[in-house]
Amino acid sequence: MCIEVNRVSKQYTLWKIKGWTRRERQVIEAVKDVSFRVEPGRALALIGPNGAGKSTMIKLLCGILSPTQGSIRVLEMDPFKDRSRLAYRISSVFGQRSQLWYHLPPIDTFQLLGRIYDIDRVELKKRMKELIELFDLSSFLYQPVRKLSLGQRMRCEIAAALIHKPKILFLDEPTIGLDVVARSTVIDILRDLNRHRNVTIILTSHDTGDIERICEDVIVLNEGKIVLESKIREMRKNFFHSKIIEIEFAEQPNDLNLLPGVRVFDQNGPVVKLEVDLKTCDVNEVVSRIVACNAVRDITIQDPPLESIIQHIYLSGYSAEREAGQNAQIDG
Amino acid sequence: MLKSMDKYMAAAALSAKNYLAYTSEVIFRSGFLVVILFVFVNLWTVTYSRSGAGVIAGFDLRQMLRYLVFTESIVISRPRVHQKVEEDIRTGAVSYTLARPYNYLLFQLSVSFGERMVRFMCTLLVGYAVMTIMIGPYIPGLSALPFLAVTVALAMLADLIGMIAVGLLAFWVEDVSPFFLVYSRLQMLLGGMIIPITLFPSFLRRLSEWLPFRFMVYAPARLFVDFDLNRAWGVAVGQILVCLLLFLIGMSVYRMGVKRLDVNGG
Repeated sequence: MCIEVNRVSKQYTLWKIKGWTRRERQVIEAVKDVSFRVEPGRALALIGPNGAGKSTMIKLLCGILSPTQGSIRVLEMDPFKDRSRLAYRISSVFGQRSQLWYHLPPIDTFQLLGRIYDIDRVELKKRMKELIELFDLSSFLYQPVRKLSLGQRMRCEIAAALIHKPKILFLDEPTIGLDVVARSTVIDILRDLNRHRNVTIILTSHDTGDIERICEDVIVLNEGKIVLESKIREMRKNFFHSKIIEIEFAEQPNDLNLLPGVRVFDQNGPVVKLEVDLKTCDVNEVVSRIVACNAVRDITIQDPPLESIIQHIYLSGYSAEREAGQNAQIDG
Repeated sequence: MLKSMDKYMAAAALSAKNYLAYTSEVIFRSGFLVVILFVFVNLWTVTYSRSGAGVIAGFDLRQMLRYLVFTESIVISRPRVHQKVEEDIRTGAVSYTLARPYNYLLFQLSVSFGERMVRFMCTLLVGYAVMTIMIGPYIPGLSALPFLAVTVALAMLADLIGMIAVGLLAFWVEDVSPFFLVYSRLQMLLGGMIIPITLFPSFLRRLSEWLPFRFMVYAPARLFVDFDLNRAWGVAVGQILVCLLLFLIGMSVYRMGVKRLDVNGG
Protein backbone atom coordinates (compact mmCIF):
# COMPACT_ATOMS: atom_id res chain seq x y z
CA MET A 1 0.00 0.00 0.00
CA CYS A 2 1.25 3.45 -0.87
CA ILE A 3 -0.73 5.50 1.63
CA GLU A 4 -2.82 4.35 4.57
CA VAL A 5 -4.74 6.87 6.62
CA ASN A 6 -6.52 5.38 9.59
CA ARG A 7 -9.08 7.42 11.58
CA VAL A 8 -6.97 10.56 11.52
CA SER A 9 -8.00 13.78 13.23
CA LYS A 10 -6.04 17.00 13.48
CA GLN A 11 -6.78 19.80 15.88
CA TYR A 12 -5.30 23.29 15.90
CA THR A 13 -5.23 25.84 18.63
CA LEU A 14 -6.17 29.39 17.78
CA TRP A 15 -6.07 32.36 20.11
CA LYS A 16 -8.86 34.86 19.67
CA ILE A 17 -8.17 38.38 20.86
CA LYS A 18 -11.14 39.79 22.72
CA GLY A 19 -11.05 43.37 23.89
CA TRP A 20 -7.69 44.91 24.86
CA THR A 21 -5.98 42.13 26.74
CA ARG A 22 -8.26 39.09 26.87
CA ARG A 23 -7.27 36.11 24.77
CA GLU A 24 -9.52 33.15 24.27
CA ARG A 25 -8.30 29.71 23.27
CA GLN A 26 -10.19 28.07 20.46
CA VAL A 27 -9.61 24.51 19.27
CA ILE A 28 -10.28 23.93 15.59
CA GLU A 29 -10.71 20.43 14.24
CA ALA A 30 -9.36 20.73 10.70
CA VAL A 31 -9.56 17.00 9.93
CA LYS A 32 -12.10 14.71 11.59
CA ASP A 33 -11.80 10.94 11.71
CA VAL A 34 -10.57 10.54 8.13
CA SER A 35 -9.63 7.11 6.74
CA PHE A 36 -8.60 6.11 3.24
CA ARG A 37 -6.02 4.10 1.34
CA VAL A 38 -4.22 4.68 -1.93
CA GLU A 39 -2.60 1.97 -4.05
CA PRO A 40 0.71 2.71 -5.81
CA GLY A 41 0.37 4.43 -9.19
CA ARG A 42 -3.11 5.84 -8.56
CA ALA A 43 -4.13 9.49 -8.86
CA LEU A 44 -6.36 10.74 -6.06
CA ALA A 45 -8.04 14.12 -5.87
CA LEU A 46 -8.89 15.76 -2.57
CA ILE A 47 -11.54 18.33 -3.23
CA GLY A 48 -13.71 20.57 -1.15
CA PRO A 49 -14.44 24.21 -0.44
CA ASN A 50 -12.06 26.53 1.43
CA GLY A 51 -11.40 25.31 4.96
CA ALA A 52 -12.46 21.76 4.12
CA GLY A 53 -9.15 20.32 5.37
CA LYS A 54 -7.49 19.49 2.02
CA SER A 55 -4.22 21.33 2.62
CA THR A 56 -4.05 20.05 6.20
CA MET A 57 -4.45 16.51 4.86
CA ILE A 58 -1.56 17.06 2.41
CA LYS A 59 0.59 18.49 5.23
CA LEU A 60 -0.20 15.44 7.36
CA LEU A 61 0.73 13.10 4.50
CA CYS A 62 4.03 14.93 3.88
CA GLY A 63 4.94 14.80 7.59
CA ILE A 64 4.75 18.56 8.06
CA LEU A 65 2.08 18.08 10.71
CA SER A 66 1.40 15.21 13.08
CA PRO A 67 -2.11 13.82 13.57
CA THR A 68 -3.80 14.53 16.89
CA GLN A 69 -5.42 11.10 16.65
CA GLY A 70 -5.12 8.12 14.36
CA SER A 71 -2.23 6.90 12.26
CA ILE A 72 -0.74 7.53 8.82
CA ARG A 73 1.62 5.32 6.83
CA VAL A 74 3.20 6.62 3.65
CA LEU A 75 5.48 4.18 1.79
CA GLU A 76 5.59 2.08 4.97
CA MET A 77 6.82 5.05 7.01
CA ASP A 78 5.30 7.31 9.63
CA PRO A 79 5.53 10.63 7.78
CA PHE A 80 5.99 12.78 10.88
CA LYS A 81 8.54 10.56 12.64
CA ASP A 82 10.43 9.51 9.48
CA ARG A 83 10.15 12.91 7.81
CA SER A 84 13.79 13.22 6.73
CA ARG A 85 13.87 9.69 5.26
CA LEU A 86 10.51 10.12 3.58
CA ALA A 87 11.58 13.45 2.03
CA TYR A 88 13.83 11.53 -0.39
CA ARG A 89 10.89 9.45 -1.67
CA ILE A 90 8.09 11.96 -1.96
CA SER A 91 7.78 15.43 -3.41
CA SER A 92 5.37 18.30 -3.23
CA VAL A 93 4.30 21.27 -5.29
CA PHE A 94 2.38 23.97 -3.50
CA GLY A 95 0.85 26.23 -6.13
CA GLN A 96 1.60 29.51 -4.42
CA ARG A 97 5.04 28.63 -3.03
CA SER A 98 7.95 28.47 -5.39
CA GLN A 99 11.19 26.62 -4.83
CA LEU A 100 12.80 28.21 -7.89
CA TRP A 101 15.42 30.94 -7.40
CA TYR A 102 13.81 34.09 -8.74
CA HIS A 103 16.84 35.80 -10.29
CA LEU A 104 18.51 32.67 -11.63
CA PRO A 105 17.66 30.32 -14.50
CA PRO A 106 15.74 27.14 -13.60
CA ILE A 107 18.76 24.97 -14.41
CA ASP A 108 20.54 26.40 -11.34
CA THR A 109 17.68 25.33 -9.07
CA PHE A 110 17.70 21.85 -10.63
CA GLN A 111 21.41 21.51 -9.93
CA LEU A 112 21.00 22.70 -6.35
CA LEU A 113 18.13 20.26 -5.79
CA GLY A 114 20.35 17.51 -7.15
CA ARG A 115 22.84 18.29 -4.38
CA ILE A 116 20.08 18.63 -1.76
CA TYR A 117 18.76 15.17 -2.64
CA ASP A 118 22.31 13.72 -2.76
CA ILE A 119 22.04 12.71 -6.41
CA ASP A 120 25.20 11.55 -8.09
CA ARG A 121 26.42 14.07 -10.73
CA VAL A 122 26.19 11.66 -13.67
CA GLU A 123 22.73 10.52 -12.58
CA LEU A 124 21.64 14.13 -12.11
CA LYS A 125 22.74 15.05 -15.62
CA LYS A 126 20.77 12.13 -17.03
CA ARG A 127 17.74 12.98 -14.92
CA MET A 128 17.80 16.65 -15.93
CA LYS A 129 17.99 15.69 -19.60
CA GLU A 130 14.89 13.50 -19.19
CA LEU A 131 12.93 16.19 -17.40
CA ILE A 132 13.95 18.92 -19.85
CA GLU A 133 12.62 16.77 -22.69
CA LEU A 134 9.48 15.69 -20.85
CA PHE A 135 8.51 19.23 -19.84
CA ASP A 136 9.91 20.87 -23.00
CA LEU A 137 12.03 23.30 -21.00
CA SER A 138 15.00 23.71 -23.33
CA SER A 139 13.90 27.07 -24.81
CA PHE A 140 13.86 28.87 -21.44
CA LEU A 141 16.16 26.76 -19.31
CA TYR A 142 18.79 29.50 -19.10
CA GLN A 143 16.39 32.43 -18.64
CA PRO A 144 16.00 33.96 -15.18
CA VAL A 145 12.84 32.65 -13.51
CA ARG A 146 11.51 36.20 -13.09
CA LYS A 147 11.24 36.44 -16.89
CA LEU A 148 9.23 33.25 -17.34
CA SER A 149 5.48 33.12 -17.81
CA LEU A 150 3.37 31.54 -15.07
CA GLY A 151 2.88 28.41 -17.14
CA GLN A 152 6.60 28.02 -17.85
CA ARG A 153 7.32 28.57 -14.18
CA MET A 154 4.84 25.89 -13.11
CA ARG A 155 6.39 23.41 -15.57
CA CYS A 156 9.77 24.15 -14.00
CA GLU A 157 8.29 23.78 -10.48
CA ILE A 158 6.93 20.33 -11.30
CA ALA A 159 10.17 19.30 -13.03
CA ALA A 160 12.11 20.48 -9.96
CA ALA A 161 9.84 18.42 -7.73
CA LEU A 162 10.61 15.31 -9.79
CA ILE A 163 14.39 15.62 -9.85
CA HIS A 164 14.86 12.89 -7.21
CA LYS A 165 12.36 10.46 -8.81
CA PRO A 166 9.77 10.56 -6.03
CA LYS A 167 7.27 7.73 -5.71
CA ILE A 168 4.49 10.11 -4.65
CA LEU A 169 3.84 13.65 -5.84
CA PHE A 170 1.65 15.87 -3.68
CA LEU A 171 0.17 18.84 -5.49
CA ASP A 172 -1.73 21.56 -3.69
CA GLU A 173 -3.60 23.75 -6.19
CA PRO A 174 -0.96 23.38 -8.95
CA THR A 175 -3.01 25.16 -11.61
CA ILE A 176 -3.96 28.18 -9.53
CA GLY A 177 -3.56 31.41 -11.50
CA LEU A 178 -2.69 29.68 -14.79
CA ASP A 179 -4.33 30.62 -18.08
CA VAL A 180 -6.24 28.02 -20.11
CA VAL A 181 -3.27 26.98 -22.29
CA ALA A 182 -0.77 26.73 -19.43
CA ARG A 183 -3.30 24.86 -17.31
CA SER A 184 -3.90 22.36 -20.08
CA THR A 185 -0.15 21.75 -20.55
CA VAL A 186 0.38 21.19 -16.81
CA ILE A 187 -2.58 18.81 -16.65
CA ASP A 188 -1.29 16.80 -19.63
CA ILE A 189 2.12 16.48 -17.99
CA LEU A 190 0.66 15.35 -14.68
CA ARG A 191 -1.54 12.79 -16.40
CA ASP A 192 1.45 11.46 -18.32
CA LEU A 193 3.48 11.17 -15.13
CA ASN A 194 0.77 9.19 -13.47
CA ARG A 195 -0.28 6.98 -16.40
CA HIS A 196 3.10 6.25 -17.97
CA ARG A 197 5.68 6.83 -15.27
CA ASN A 198 3.82 5.28 -12.36
CA VAL A 199 4.07 8.32 -10.09
CA THR A 200 1.31 8.29 -7.48
CA ILE A 201 -0.42 11.66 -7.47
CA ILE A 202 -2.36 13.24 -4.64
CA LEU A 203 -3.92 16.46 -5.83
CA THR A 204 -6.00 19.17 -4.24
CA SER A 205 -7.85 21.66 -6.37
CA HIS A 206 -10.95 23.78 -6.46
CA ASP A 207 -11.34 23.03 -10.13
CA THR A 208 -13.35 19.92 -10.88
CA GLY A 209 -12.28 20.10 -14.53
CA ASP A 210 -8.58 19.65 -13.63
CA ILE A 211 -9.40 16.79 -11.35
CA GLU A 212 -11.42 14.90 -13.92
CA ARG A 213 -8.56 14.98 -16.39
CA ILE A 214 -5.86 13.83 -13.98
CA CYS A 215 -7.39 11.63 -11.32
CA GLU A 216 -9.28 8.36 -11.25
CA ASP A 217 -10.36 8.59 -7.62
CA VAL A 218 -11.79 11.42 -5.59
CA ILE A 219 -12.37 12.22 -1.96
CA VAL A 220 -14.66 15.13 -1.21
CA LEU A 221 -13.94 16.81 2.10
CA ASN A 222 -16.17 19.25 3.86
CA GLU A 223 -15.53 20.73 7.29
CA GLY A 224 -12.74 18.21 7.82
CA LYS A 225 -14.83 15.13 7.12
CA ILE A 226 -15.01 12.84 4.10
CA VAL A 227 -18.42 13.36 2.53
CA LEU A 228 -17.76 11.27 -0.54
CA GLU A 229 -15.15 8.74 -1.59
CA SER A 230 -15.62 7.51 -5.10
CA LYS A 231 -14.30 7.00 -8.61
CA ILE A 232 -14.32 10.20 -10.63
CA ARG A 233 -16.59 8.71 -13.31
CA GLU A 234 -19.10 7.62 -10.68
CA MET A 235 -19.04 11.03 -9.13
CA ARG A 236 -19.70 12.57 -12.52
CA LYS A 237 -22.56 10.16 -13.14
CA ASN A 238 -24.13 10.71 -9.73
CA PHE A 239 -23.53 14.36 -8.98
CA PHE A 240 -22.52 16.35 -12.06
CA HIS A 241 -26.08 16.70 -13.30
CA SER A 242 -25.84 20.26 -14.43
CA LYS A 243 -23.66 22.81 -16.20
CA ILE A 244 -23.60 26.54 -15.75
CA ILE A 245 -23.61 28.57 -18.97
CA GLU A 246 -22.65 32.22 -18.60
CA ILE A 247 -23.67 34.32 -21.59
CA GLU A 248 -22.84 37.94 -22.23
CA PHE A 249 -25.37 39.27 -24.75
CA ALA A 250 -24.71 42.27 -26.98
CA GLU A 251 -27.85 43.84 -25.50
CA GLN A 252 -30.55 42.92 -23.03
CA PRO A 253 -32.00 39.60 -24.37
CA ASN A 254 -35.69 39.59 -25.31
CA ASP A 255 -36.43 35.94 -25.60
CA LEU A 256 -34.04 33.27 -24.30
CA ASN A 257 -36.08 30.55 -25.90
CA LEU A 258 -35.22 28.18 -23.05
CA LEU A 259 -35.71 24.46 -23.28
CA PRO A 260 -37.25 22.44 -20.46
CA GLY A 261 -34.53 21.68 -17.87
CA VAL A 262 -32.88 25.09 -18.27
CA ARG A 263 -33.41 27.78 -15.68
CA VAL A 264 -32.06 31.29 -15.21
CA PHE A 265 -29.61 30.99 -12.35
CA ASP A 266 -28.58 34.64 -12.20
CA GLN A 267 -29.06 37.76 -14.35
CA ASN A 268 -27.21 41.04 -14.30
CA GLY A 269 -28.16 43.23 -17.27
CA PRO A 270 -26.96 41.58 -20.47
CA VAL A 271 -25.04 38.87 -18.51
CA VAL A 272 -27.17 35.81 -17.84
CA LYS A 273 -26.25 32.60 -16.04
CA LEU A 274 -28.23 29.52 -16.92
CA GLU A 275 -28.26 26.18 -15.17
CA VAL A 276 -28.73 23.28 -17.55
CA ASP A 277 -29.98 19.94 -16.27
CA LEU A 278 -27.91 17.43 -18.26
CA LYS A 279 -30.44 14.65 -17.69
CA THR A 280 -33.10 16.63 -19.53
CA CYS A 281 -31.24 18.43 -22.28
CA ASP A 282 -27.94 18.87 -24.06
CA VAL A 283 -25.65 21.90 -23.54
CA ASN A 284 -24.91 22.22 -27.27
CA GLU A 285 -28.59 22.41 -28.09
CA VAL A 286 -29.19 25.09 -25.46
CA VAL A 287 -26.31 27.19 -26.78
CA SER A 288 -27.41 26.77 -30.42
CA ARG A 289 -30.93 27.95 -29.66
CA ILE A 290 -29.76 31.01 -27.75
CA VAL A 291 -27.19 32.02 -30.38
CA ALA A 292 -29.82 31.62 -33.11
CA CYS A 293 -32.13 34.17 -31.45
CA ASN A 294 -29.68 36.69 -29.89
CA ALA A 295 -26.42 38.50 -30.58
CA VAL A 296 -23.88 37.06 -28.14
CA ARG A 297 -20.56 38.60 -27.08
CA ASP A 298 -19.15 35.80 -24.93
CA ILE A 299 -20.07 32.36 -23.64
CA THR A 300 -18.43 30.26 -20.94
CA ILE A 301 -19.52 26.81 -19.80
CA GLN A 302 -18.59 25.73 -16.28
CA ASP A 303 -19.25 22.94 -13.86
CA PRO A 304 -21.44 23.93 -10.95
CA PRO A 305 -19.46 25.25 -7.97
CA LEU A 306 -18.12 22.64 -5.55
CA GLU A 307 -20.34 24.01 -2.81
CA SER A 308 -23.43 23.10 -4.78
CA ILE A 309 -22.07 19.60 -5.53
CA ILE A 310 -21.40 19.09 -1.83
CA GLN A 311 -24.88 20.36 -1.02
CA HIS A 312 -26.23 17.90 -3.56
CA ILE A 313 -24.25 15.07 -1.94
CA TYR A 314 -25.77 15.92 1.44
CA LEU A 315 -29.26 16.30 0.02
CA SER A 316 -29.08 12.95 -1.71
CA GLY A 317 -28.11 11.33 1.58
CA TYR A 318 -24.93 10.02 0.03
CA SER A 319 -21.91 9.74 2.31
CA ALA A 320 -18.61 7.94 2.42
CA GLU A 321 -19.72 5.80 5.32
CA ARG A 322 -22.88 4.66 3.56
CA GLU A 323 -21.14 4.02 0.28
CA ALA A 324 -18.11 2.09 1.34
CA GLY A 325 -18.01 1.61 5.09
CA GLN A 326 -15.56 3.23 7.49
CA ASN A 327 -12.37 2.12 5.83
CA ALA A 328 -12.95 2.04 2.13
CA GLN A 329 -10.08 1.10 -0.10
CA ILE A 330 -9.39 2.84 -3.35
CA ASP A 331 -8.11 -0.02 -5.39
CA GLY A 332 -8.81 0.55 -9.06
CA MET B 1 30.13 14.74 7.17
CA LEU B 2 31.64 16.55 4.15
CA LYS B 3 29.11 14.80 1.91
CA SER B 4 26.21 16.02 4.04
CA MET B 5 27.64 19.57 3.98
CA ASP B 6 27.80 19.50 0.18
CA LYS B 7 24.18 20.70 -0.19
CA TYR B 8 24.82 23.67 2.10
CA MET B 9 27.96 24.67 0.21
CA ALA B 10 26.01 24.45 -3.05
CA ALA B 11 23.27 26.65 -1.54
CA ALA B 12 25.87 29.24 -0.45
CA ALA B 13 27.45 29.30 -3.92
CA LEU B 14 24.07 29.66 -5.63
CA SER B 15 23.07 32.43 -3.25
CA ALA B 16 26.28 34.33 -4.09
CA LYS B 17 25.45 33.97 -7.77
CA ASN B 18 21.84 35.06 -7.15
CA TYR B 19 23.00 38.13 -5.27
CA LEU B 20 25.02 39.33 -8.24
CA ALA B 21 21.61 40.28 -9.72
CA TYR B 22 21.47 43.07 -7.11
CA THR B 23 24.50 44.96 -8.39
CA SER B 24 22.80 48.35 -8.02
CA GLU B 25 22.11 47.69 -4.34
CA VAL B 26 25.73 46.60 -3.82
CA ILE B 27 26.95 49.83 -5.42
CA PHE B 28 24.58 51.96 -3.33
CA ARG B 29 25.64 50.27 -0.10
CA SER B 30 29.29 50.68 -0.99
CA GLY B 31 28.65 54.36 -1.75
CA PHE B 32 27.24 54.72 1.75
CA LEU B 33 30.52 53.35 3.10
CA VAL B 34 32.39 56.20 1.37
CA VAL B 35 30.28 58.74 3.28
CA ILE B 36 30.85 56.96 6.60
CA LEU B 37 34.57 56.76 5.99
CA PHE B 38 34.79 60.42 5.02
CA VAL B 39 33.13 61.44 8.31
CA PHE B 40 35.25 59.14 10.47
CA VAL B 41 38.55 59.96 8.76
CA ASN B 42 37.96 63.61 9.62
CA LEU B 43 36.76 62.80 13.13
CA TRP B 44 39.75 60.62 14.02
CA THR B 45 42.22 63.02 12.36
CA VAL B 46 40.96 65.82 14.61
CA THR B 47 40.97 63.52 17.68
CA TYR B 48 44.56 62.43 17.11
CA SER B 49 45.83 65.95 16.36
CA ARG B 50 44.02 67.51 19.38
CA SER B 51 45.20 64.80 21.80
CA GLY B 52 48.74 65.04 20.48
CA ALA B 53 49.13 61.29 21.00
CA GLY B 54 50.58 59.23 18.18
CA VAL B 55 48.94 56.05 19.48
CA ILE B 56 45.52 55.72 21.17
CA ALA B 57 44.59 52.39 22.79
CA GLY B 58 47.21 50.58 20.72
CA PHE B 59 46.17 52.10 17.37
CA ASP B 60 47.88 54.86 15.42
CA LEU B 61 45.75 57.01 13.09
CA ARG B 62 46.34 54.84 10.02
CA GLN B 63 45.55 51.65 11.90
CA MET B 64 42.43 53.23 13.33
CA LEU B 65 41.18 54.13 9.85
CA ARG B 66 42.02 50.67 8.47
CA TYR B 67 40.20 49.17 11.45
CA LEU B 68 37.16 51.27 10.61
CA VAL B 69 37.18 50.22 6.94
CA PHE B 70 37.23 46.59 8.01
CA THR B 71 34.55 46.78 10.71
CA GLU B 72 32.23 48.83 8.49
CA SER B 73 32.70 46.35 5.63
CA ILE B 74 31.72 43.49 7.95
CA VAL B 75 28.65 45.24 9.37
CA ILE B 76 27.38 46.85 6.15
CA SER B 77 27.61 43.51 4.33
CA ARG B 78 25.02 42.00 6.68
CA PRO B 79 21.98 40.62 4.78
CA ARG B 80 18.48 40.85 6.27
CA VAL B 81 18.31 37.15 7.12
CA HIS B 82 16.32 37.78 10.33
CA GLN B 83 13.57 39.34 8.20
CA LYS B 84 13.63 36.41 5.79
CA VAL B 85 13.24 33.94 8.66
CA GLU B 86 10.52 36.08 10.21
CA GLU B 87 8.65 36.17 6.89
CA ASP B 88 9.01 32.39 6.44
CA ILE B 89 7.44 31.87 9.85
CA ARG B 90 4.71 34.46 9.43
CA THR B 91 3.64 33.19 6.00
CA GLY B 92 3.93 29.54 7.00
CA ALA B 93 6.64 28.91 4.36
CA VAL B 94 8.85 27.43 7.07
CA SER B 95 6.44 24.50 7.47
CA TYR B 96 6.92 23.48 3.82
CA THR B 97 10.70 23.29 4.28
CA LEU B 98 10.12 20.51 6.81
CA ALA B 99 9.31 18.19 3.93
CA ARG B 100 12.72 18.82 2.32
CA PRO B 101 15.84 16.88 3.28
CA TYR B 102 17.82 19.69 4.84
CA ASN B 103 18.20 21.51 8.10
CA TYR B 104 16.33 24.83 7.86
CA LEU B 105 18.77 26.69 10.08
CA LEU B 106 21.84 25.45 8.18
CA PHE B 107 20.15 26.18 4.87
CA GLN B 108 19.32 29.77 5.81
CA LEU B 109 22.83 30.15 7.17
CA SER B 110 24.36 28.95 3.89
CA VAL B 111 22.13 31.15 1.74
CA SER B 112 22.79 34.26 3.82
CA PHE B 113 26.51 33.49 4.03
CA GLY B 114 26.79 33.27 0.22
CA GLU B 115 25.04 36.60 -0.14
CA ARG B 116 27.14 38.19 2.58
CA MET B 117 30.43 37.13 1.02
CA VAL B 118 29.54 38.96 -2.20
CA ARG B 119 28.47 42.06 -0.29
CA PHE B 120 31.58 41.98 1.88
CA MET B 121 33.94 41.67 -1.08
CA CYS B 122 32.26 44.64 -2.78
CA THR B 123 32.25 46.90 0.28
CA LEU B 124 35.79 45.95 1.23
CA LEU B 125 36.95 46.73 -2.29
CA VAL B 126 35.36 50.18 -2.19
CA GLY B 127 36.57 50.81 1.37
CA TYR B 128 40.08 49.69 0.47
CA ALA B 129 40.13 52.02 -2.53
CA VAL B 130 38.97 54.99 -0.40
CA MET B 131 41.49 54.10 2.30
CA THR B 132 44.31 53.89 -0.26
CA ILE B 133 43.44 57.32 -1.66
CA MET B 134 43.23 58.89 1.81
CA ILE B 135 46.08 57.29 3.73
CA GLY B 136 48.02 55.20 1.24
CA PRO B 137 48.03 51.48 0.43
CA TYR B 138 48.13 48.67 2.98
CA ILE B 139 48.88 45.02 2.29
CA PRO B 140 48.74 42.56 5.18
CA GLY B 141 51.47 39.90 5.15
CA LEU B 142 50.87 36.89 2.91
CA SER B 143 50.95 34.52 5.89
CA ALA B 144 48.16 36.55 7.51
CA LEU B 145 45.77 36.22 4.58
CA PRO B 146 44.49 32.66 5.23
CA PHE B 147 43.88 33.49 8.91
CA LEU B 148 42.13 36.72 7.97
CA ALA B 149 39.89 34.87 5.50
CA VAL B 150 38.99 32.21 8.08
CA THR B 151 38.36 34.64 10.94
CA VAL B 152 36.24 36.93 8.75
CA ALA B 153 34.19 33.94 7.56
CA LEU B 154 33.72 32.72 11.15
CA ALA B 155 32.82 36.23 12.32
CA MET B 156 30.13 36.43 9.66
CA LEU B 157 28.82 32.95 10.43
CA ALA B 158 28.54 33.77 14.13
CA ASP B 159 26.68 36.98 13.35
CA LEU B 160 24.35 35.27 10.87
CA ILE B 161 23.48 32.52 13.35
CA GLY B 162 22.68 35.23 15.90
CA MET B 163 20.47 37.02 13.36
CA ILE B 164 18.66 33.79 12.42
CA ALA B 165 18.04 33.08 16.12
CA VAL B 166 16.51 36.57 16.42
CA GLY B 167 14.34 35.87 13.34
CA LEU B 168 13.17 32.59 14.88
CA LEU B 169 11.56 34.55 17.71
CA ALA B 170 8.76 35.18 15.18
CA PHE B 171 7.37 31.83 16.32
CA TRP B 172 6.28 33.68 19.47
CA VAL B 173 6.10 37.39 18.58
CA GLU B 174 4.49 39.26 15.70
CA ASP B 175 7.46 41.53 14.99
CA VAL B 176 11.12 40.72 15.65
CA SER B 177 12.47 44.16 14.70
CA PRO B 178 12.72 45.41 18.35
CA PHE B 179 14.81 42.35 19.20
CA PHE B 180 17.00 42.87 16.17
CA LEU B 181 17.44 46.52 17.09
CA VAL B 182 18.76 45.52 20.52
CA TYR B 183 20.98 42.81 18.97
CA SER B 184 22.48 45.13 16.34
CA ARG B 185 23.03 48.00 18.78
CA LEU B 186 24.75 45.70 21.26
CA GLN B 187 26.93 44.44 18.46
CA MET B 188 27.69 47.99 17.31
CA LEU B 189 28.63 49.18 20.77
CA LEU B 190 30.10 46.13 22.49
CA GLY B 191 31.42 44.47 19.33
CA GLY B 192 33.71 47.42 18.62
CA MET B 193 32.23 48.53 15.31
CA ILE B 194 32.94 52.25 15.67
CA ILE B 195 35.40 52.30 18.56
CA PRO B 196 37.90 49.49 19.25
CA ILE B 197 37.19 47.64 22.48
CA THR B 198 40.64 48.63 23.83
CA LEU B 199 39.34 52.20 24.05
CA PHE B 200 36.46 51.25 26.36
CA PRO B 201 36.51 51.89 30.11
CA SER B 202 37.66 48.78 31.96
CA PHE B 203 34.19 47.61 33.12
CA LEU B 204 32.80 47.79 29.55
CA ARG B 205 35.88 46.04 28.20
CA ARG B 206 35.41 43.24 30.72
CA LEU B 207 31.73 43.01 29.81
CA SER B 208 32.45 42.82 26.09
CA GLU B 209 35.01 40.08 26.70
CA TRP B 210 32.19 37.91 28.07
CA LEU B 211 29.88 38.57 25.14
CA PRO B 212 30.09 37.01 21.66
CA PHE B 213 29.95 40.33 19.77
CA ARG B 214 33.68 41.05 19.85
CA PHE B 215 34.29 37.85 17.85
CA MET B 216 31.96 39.15 15.16
CA VAL B 217 33.58 42.54 14.55
CA TYR B 218 36.52 43.60 16.72
CA ALA B 219 38.62 40.44 16.69
CA PRO B 220 39.01 39.97 12.90
CA ALA B 221 39.41 43.73 12.36
CA ARG B 222 42.17 43.89 14.96
CA LEU B 223 43.95 41.05 13.16
CA PHE B 224 43.60 42.95 9.89
CA VAL B 225 45.43 46.01 11.17
CA ASP B 226 47.86 44.29 13.53
CA PHE B 227 48.31 40.61 12.73
CA ASP B 228 49.64 38.29 15.40
CA LEU B 229 49.71 34.53 14.86
CA ASN B 230 49.05 33.54 18.48
CA ARG B 231 46.15 35.96 18.73
CA ALA B 232 44.81 34.67 15.39
CA TRP B 233 44.62 31.09 16.74
CA GLY B 234 42.89 32.34 19.88
CA VAL B 235 40.38 34.32 17.83
CA ALA B 236 39.61 31.38 15.53
CA VAL B 237 39.07 28.98 18.44
CA GLY B 238 36.88 31.54 20.24
CA GLN B 239 34.84 32.12 17.10
CA ILE B 240 34.27 28.40 16.57
CA LEU B 241 33.03 28.06 20.15
CA VAL B 242 30.75 31.08 19.72
CA CYS B 243 29.38 29.64 16.46
CA LEU B 244 28.68 26.28 18.11
CA LEU B 245 27.04 27.88 21.13
CA LEU B 246 24.86 30.18 19.04
CA PHE B 247 23.96 27.31 16.71
CA LEU B 248 22.84 25.18 19.66
CA ILE B 249 20.74 28.07 20.95
CA GLY B 250 19.32 28.63 17.46
CA MET B 251 18.47 24.93 17.02
CA SER B 252 16.75 24.80 20.41
CA VAL B 253 14.67 27.87 19.52
CA TYR B 254 13.86 26.33 16.12
CA ARG B 255 12.80 22.99 17.61
CA MET B 256 10.56 24.68 20.14
CA GLY B 257 9.10 26.82 17.35
CA VAL B 258 8.43 23.86 15.08
CA LYS B 259 6.48 22.19 17.90
CA ARG B 260 4.29 25.30 18.05
CA LEU B 261 3.85 25.09 14.30
CA ASP B 262 2.35 21.63 14.67
CA VAL B 263 0.02 22.83 17.42
CA ASN B 264 -1.06 25.91 15.45
CA GLY B 265 -1.53 24.09 12.17
CA GLY B 266 1.48 25.06 10.06
